[in-house]
Amino acid sequence: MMDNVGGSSSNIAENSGIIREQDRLLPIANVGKIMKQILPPNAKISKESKETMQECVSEFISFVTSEASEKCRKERRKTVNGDDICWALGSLGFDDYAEPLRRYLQRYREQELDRANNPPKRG
Amino acid sequence: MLLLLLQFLQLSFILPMAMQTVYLKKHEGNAHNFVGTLSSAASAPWWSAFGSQSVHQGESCGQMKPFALELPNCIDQLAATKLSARGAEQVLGEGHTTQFTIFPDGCKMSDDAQKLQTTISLQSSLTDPHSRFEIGFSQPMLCAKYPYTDQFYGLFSAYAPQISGRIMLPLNMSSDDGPIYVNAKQYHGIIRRRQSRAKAVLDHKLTKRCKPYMHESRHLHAMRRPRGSGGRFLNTRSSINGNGKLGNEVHKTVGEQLQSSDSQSSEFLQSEVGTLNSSKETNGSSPNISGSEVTSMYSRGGLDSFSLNHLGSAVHSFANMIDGGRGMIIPPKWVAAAGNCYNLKV
Repeated sequence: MMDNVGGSSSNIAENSGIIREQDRLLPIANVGKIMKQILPPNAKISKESKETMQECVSEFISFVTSEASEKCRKERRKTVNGDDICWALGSLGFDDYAEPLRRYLQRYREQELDRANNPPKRG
Repeated sequence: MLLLLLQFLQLSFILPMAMQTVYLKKHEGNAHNFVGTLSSAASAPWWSAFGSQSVHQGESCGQMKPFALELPNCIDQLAATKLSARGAEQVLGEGHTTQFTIFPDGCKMSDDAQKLQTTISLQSSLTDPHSRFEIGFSQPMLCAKYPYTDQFYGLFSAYAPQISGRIMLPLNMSSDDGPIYVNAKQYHGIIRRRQSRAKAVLDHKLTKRCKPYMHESRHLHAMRRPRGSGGRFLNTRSSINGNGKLGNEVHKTVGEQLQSSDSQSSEFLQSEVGTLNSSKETNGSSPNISGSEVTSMYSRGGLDSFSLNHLGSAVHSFANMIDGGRGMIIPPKWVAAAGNCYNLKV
C-alpha cells in the first residue's frame, strides 16, 4: 500500500521516528497466502497461526539482514545486495538454503538482463 | 551480591558436564551445586578452586566474558587452577601406592571401584581428616565431579572452543527455564538481535497500532461522506435484490477488509460477521439494503446491527458481540452509537 502522499504536516510529524507494527511485520494476508500454497486446498489456517508465523518470518528476515549488514559495515559498503544475503545464510549455518537462493538469484539476474535488453513494446 | 554471581558461575559450570551423563545424574549435579555453594562458605580452598575453574572454563568458551570482567579477582587465580589440576593428576598417578593404606576408610563411602580410588586420592591430598569428618555426606558427591572435570577438560582441548557446535547463551539474557544452547554460528547474531530489540524498546520506537485506520486523510474523507439510515454510505454504485446476493456482497466486503486491516481490526471484523449472521437468523427476510464500503468499522458494526433487530434481539446480539470479542473493551464511539440508536427508537 502506498504512503499518504497528500498528508498534512501533523500527520508526517506524527509518524516520523516511530516504527509502526505494519512496518515491522509482513502483511498478514501475504503470509497466509504463502502458508496456503503448501497445504491441501481444503485446509484452513487459524488467525493465531498466521500471527505467529508473521512474527517468526519477520524476525528471521531481521536476523539474516543483520548478519549481512554487519558484513557490509566491516567492508565499508553501504548497499546490502543479494550476494551478501546468500553469504549471511551460509555463515549462520543455513547452508541448505544458501545454495537454492544463489541459484534463484542467478536466474533473477538473467531475467533482469533480458528485460533490460528487450523492453516491452508500447502502443 | 558476589555470592549470587558465584552461584550463576557454578550453575553454568556444572550443567555442561551434566550433559555427558544421564538425566538423573543431571539432577544430582544441580543438588550437588547447591550443597557445594553452602560448603564453600565453610572451607576456603574448595571455594577458591571451584570459582577459578568456572572462570577458566568461561574464558575458553567465550560466552562468559561479561562475568569474567565483573570478577577480576578470580582471573588472577588461573595459575593456581592449573597448578591444582596438575597436582590432581599427580595424585591420580600415585593412586595405586596410597590406595592400599587407606582402604578400610574408603570402603564405607563409595560403591564403585573408580569412585573409591578417586575419593581416596582426592581426600588424602586436599582435605584434613578433621575437615573431612565435618563435611560428611556431601564429600563423595563433591569429589565425584572431578573425574568428569578432567574428562571434560580433555574433550574441551580436543574440540577447541565449541562443544559439538553448541554454545550456551548468557543466563541473565535467556528465559527462566534454564540455559539455552544455540548453534555456534548463530550466537553472535542472536546477541546482536537481542540488543537491537532491547534498544528499540528503550527508545519507545516500537509502538502497537492503536488506530482503527491506516491513513488520516482517508479517515477524514470517510467521516465527511453522507450516511443513510443504518449508517451505510449513500450514493454507492451497487444495489442488492435477494438474500443470496446479499451474502455474496457481505463476504466480498469482509474479504476486502481482511486484505487491508491489521490483526486487531480483523479480530473485530470476525465478531461483526457473527453479528450479521445472528441478524439474518432473527429476521426471515431482510429489507432492501444497499451495499456500501465502510472505512470506519466501529460505526458500521454498531449502527447496522441495532437498526435491523428488535429491542430484545438487540440486547441478545449485543451480548453476542461481547462474547465474540472475548472481553474486548467497547470503544467510546461504539457506546455513543448505541446511545444514538436508543434515542432514535424512543
